[in-house]
Amino acid sequence: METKIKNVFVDGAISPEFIANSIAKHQSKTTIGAHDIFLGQVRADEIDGKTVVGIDYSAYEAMANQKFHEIREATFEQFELSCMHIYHSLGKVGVGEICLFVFVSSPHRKEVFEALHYVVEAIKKDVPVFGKELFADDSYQWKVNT
Amino acid sequence: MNILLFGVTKDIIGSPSLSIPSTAFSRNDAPKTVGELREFLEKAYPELQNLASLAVAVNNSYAEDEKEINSFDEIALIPPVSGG
Repeated sequence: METKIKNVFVDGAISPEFIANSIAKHQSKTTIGAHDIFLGQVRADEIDGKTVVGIDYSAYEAMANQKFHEIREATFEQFELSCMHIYHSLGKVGVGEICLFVFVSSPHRKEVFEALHYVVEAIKKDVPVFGKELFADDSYQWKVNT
Repeated sequence: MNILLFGVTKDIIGSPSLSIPSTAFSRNDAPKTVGELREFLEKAYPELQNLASLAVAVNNSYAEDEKEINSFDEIALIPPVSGG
């Protein structure tokens, strides 16, 4: 059965409360024995003497959601997971705030460590999301993932 | 032909999408593949050549240069990604 393509994007930063609520929602799923979480946080990089104050994210949303979907399907095929959730910010996220939240759960720990690594690397490499690094003087530069 | 632009390609070309009227091409000269389109755009906007990478997506999938395109396809320029 073809599963529905979910919308991964949220407006602005992902709050610690949202993350805590996501964890709480899994307490009823008692076949789960291990969770692993990746949180991407905006760094105050210094570039040519100027400090990053935030990142303004934009995306090719339709394709990005399609890519997130493909990554999700590939991950479920390779690893024995109970569930997986991915959220990514759009728009402005200040330094120190969370812009990516990946949450994987499984009966056992080994699967979540490996699956999480796979998912995050695939997101960084393939998903058409574009971060504009903003400086205090209103200038900016486009970020490139390394 | 209409091309969606993202990230730095929007700045280079100066708008969120690029519409190339068929009159921009002489007869039989319109790009028929991703590679030909890329060549046309890199000539028209040389700054595109300075990017670390420039992918072309056709109908929401990354496409190789050999991929054939027509005016009904959704085509997009994908500069280096920086999600997460």
